[in-house]
Amino acid sequence: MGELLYRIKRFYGWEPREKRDIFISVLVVAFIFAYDDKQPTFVLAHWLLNYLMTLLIVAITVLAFDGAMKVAALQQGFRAEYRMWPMGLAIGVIITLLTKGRFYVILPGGLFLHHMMMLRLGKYRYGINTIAQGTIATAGPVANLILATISLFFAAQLHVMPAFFGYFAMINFWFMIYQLLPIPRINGIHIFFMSRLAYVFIFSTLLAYVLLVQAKVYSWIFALLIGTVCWFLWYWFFERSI
Amino acid sequence: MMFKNKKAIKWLDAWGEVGTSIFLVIGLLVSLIVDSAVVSYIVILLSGIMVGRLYHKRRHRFGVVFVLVTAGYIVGYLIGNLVTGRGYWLVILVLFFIGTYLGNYLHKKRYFK
Repeated sequence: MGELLYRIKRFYGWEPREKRDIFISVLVVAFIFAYDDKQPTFVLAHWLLNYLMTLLIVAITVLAFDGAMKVAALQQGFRAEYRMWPMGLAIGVIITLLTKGRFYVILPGGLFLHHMMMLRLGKYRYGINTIAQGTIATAGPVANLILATISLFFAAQLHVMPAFFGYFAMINFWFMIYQLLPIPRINGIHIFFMSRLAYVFIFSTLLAYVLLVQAKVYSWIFALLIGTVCWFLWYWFFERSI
Repeated sequence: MMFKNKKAIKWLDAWGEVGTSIFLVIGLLVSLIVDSAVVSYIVILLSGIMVGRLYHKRRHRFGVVFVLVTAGYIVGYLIGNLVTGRGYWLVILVLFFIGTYLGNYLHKKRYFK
């Protein structure tokens, strides 16, 4: 733990390019979420207020996602960098404009790993490998899941600002699910290449939690059970024969 | 000789034309879904930026198929625009080329990776 704290103190930070990437991604993703402010008529002041609120939420979401990846990477002796995917952002904006904000496509970018020689000295499989990439890539969506769960606790259990925290949870869920898709430049591809079975387990567990929340069942245990069942089914019907 | 299914071979041989047709339909659909001239202009500008990025990525192996597919998309978009009448076709064309130049320029100058 002390070693990790030292690494965080010494190496946690953002490159100028990364700061710019995060800034642009936050602006665009907030626009995608805030495009439809659910009002019958367009009022600029209301839209801007809604946009600013969404901007704050998206900034927290992206920073938590990025922070979790960075800490997980440092723990394993790598440096994680958030890299924007301009094409994904453009696709998201186009889909938003076409569907008038009724459907979200959030593909802002994802993990890029740098090898840190002195932190990896003496490690088995010294270089960047698929297992390290997969576990570090998982940390981001899991951080979003934890944020969403905390905000749901505030909204549904404590009834503190339910609209705000409900919106917070919704944004985190969308962000998390899209980050798990196995598309190049998105985190899901690293998990997919680490292990198909692990991918099925992680994706189905997190998706199950989102679906359970829609049914007002707030349980990580049920989500884990569903994930395990999906893992087993995938193994039985697809992996067993390979 | 290797393949028994000759239809598949024909499809594979004509993948450029198939891709062009698919993108023509996509352009047409996108143009039909767009509900105002401003949105139409923004969408075509963004599409142009995406094409510019692809152009930059494929600059060393630039082929006629890429031009065909891009032309298919823009022709489909213009046909849809003619049907709906949202936006002026010349503005759409100019914005598409501006977007393409912009996308290529931004990647050339390494603003984006």
